[in-house]
Amino acid sequence: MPVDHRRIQGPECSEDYRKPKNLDAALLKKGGRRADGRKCGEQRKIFLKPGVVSQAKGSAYIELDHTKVICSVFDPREKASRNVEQQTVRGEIFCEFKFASFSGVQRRSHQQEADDKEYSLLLKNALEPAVCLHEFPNFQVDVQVLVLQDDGSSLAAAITCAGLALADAAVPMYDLPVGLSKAFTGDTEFYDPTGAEERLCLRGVDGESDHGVFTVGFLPTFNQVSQLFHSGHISPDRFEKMISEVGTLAAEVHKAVQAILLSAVKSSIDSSNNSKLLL
Amino acid sequence: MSVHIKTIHPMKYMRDFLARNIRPDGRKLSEVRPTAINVGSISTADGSALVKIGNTVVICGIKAELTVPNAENPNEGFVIPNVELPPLCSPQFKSGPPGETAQVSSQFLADILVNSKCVDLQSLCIMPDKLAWVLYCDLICLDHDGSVLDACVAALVSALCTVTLPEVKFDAITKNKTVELEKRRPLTLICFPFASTFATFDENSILADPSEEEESLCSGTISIVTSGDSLYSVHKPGGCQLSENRLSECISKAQKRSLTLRGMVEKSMESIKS
Repeated sequence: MPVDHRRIQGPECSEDYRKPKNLDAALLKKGGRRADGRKCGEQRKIFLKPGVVSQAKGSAYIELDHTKVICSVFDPREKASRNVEQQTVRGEIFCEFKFASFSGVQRRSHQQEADDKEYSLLLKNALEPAVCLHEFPNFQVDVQVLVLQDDGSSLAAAITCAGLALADAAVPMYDLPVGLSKAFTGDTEFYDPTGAEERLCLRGVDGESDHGVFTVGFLPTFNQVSQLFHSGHISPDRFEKMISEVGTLAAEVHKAVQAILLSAVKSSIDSSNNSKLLL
Repeated sequence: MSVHIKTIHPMKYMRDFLARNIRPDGRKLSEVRPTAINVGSISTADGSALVKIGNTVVICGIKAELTVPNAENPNEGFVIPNVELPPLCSPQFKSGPPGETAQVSSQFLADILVNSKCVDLQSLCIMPDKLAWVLYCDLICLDHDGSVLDACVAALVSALCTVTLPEVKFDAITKNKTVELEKRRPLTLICFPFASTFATFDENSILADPSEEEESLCSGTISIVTSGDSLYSVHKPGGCQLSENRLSECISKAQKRSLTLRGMVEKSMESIKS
């Protein structure tokens, strides 16, 4: 690892004590059920909470079993534009996505790696169509996402979490973006895959042509896909079939996010009413 | 009305409260905010803890790796703390390499580990001069509302309590390592240091466990690291003068607080075992 003078340095090289495990496709499906007992089309239990970071304008925390993601949104600040001609009538969202160093099986670097940068761009593409950018021209809204533990579907969880955080920050939006992910290999499909399922489907099982992981950023009210990211190999018919299913799958997540946002607004109204009574 | 005075004359707002021996959030001068410690939540890490002091939240994740010991200390392993203050936790931090505050906090934690000899580095050595453990302790602040050093030290100590290391057999001749993932032994800590931060205001008032607002208005802060009766570190970066009496008052308060925090860590350890 290159010497980083701003951090406490450890020994020059160290290795992980864990040996890479061989992923077995059969282990992941016992009697029609997945390793954690879910059916193939079943979502993990979602825990969502807005307003977790007191110092941020808006924030949210999501937990999908072992995948834990936190997101903060800050007030619009002036865009650092060096060129006067670059001033436009649109605002901008600046997304930063980061996996914590202890979030995966292997320890990650403190600096942003290639996949952190890629996910930042994907997140921005997923959120931009939902935000009313004309409401804050020449300003940028910062969206900071940190994955505390990665057990699959972290980008999808980040999209849902960032959508809720933007709503919590009262950023004007057209719709609540929702993230979904699906992993498939051969004929088996895993909706909302865990880390092990993702790794297996990215590598693919020998003898099966279709494999990969599919992440979608979806706008439920308009029934539009804002962002689609696929790694692997897929046939066009299968691709069309998956796209058509996205709407129904997103409805469940969308309902959960709406319910949480509604209860958060209600409780803030109640608390402001109570404080008025005290005065 | 009170909101306007707070924005235009923050010092006057603060002084009016302190004149009545109370703080803007309703606490007494020596009252600390409610503290919560949660251990073992990150299963990908070898040890983890989340500490919440009022609104301040710090998470610590420890990853263990194998390495060759230093030539100067062939019998010792390594414990490497690093504090990250990401832009996520507060608008005052920018993305990029660690700023001054983060570097100072990391060095502060490294000094505490050395001064208190909290972890016996020799217990981290598997074979002298050949193989040892290195524990990378990464702390991330998730919400920066004052007293971050207190939360960092508490998170580090709590996370170290949860670390379990697998048994490693090393053959010096064949240089072969066998790791028994099932046989895990916990790390034994020699002592449990905890930090308490105080903010001095106008040379008269000393506020325990200051919030971000109070830290920005105060004339200086002092952080004291103790473990029961033992004193490990007094960190006073500049600030206004402090009399000996005041300092000894702070030290005794810090000692009491470290005992309470130790009780909390032990309770949370028991809850995960059951």
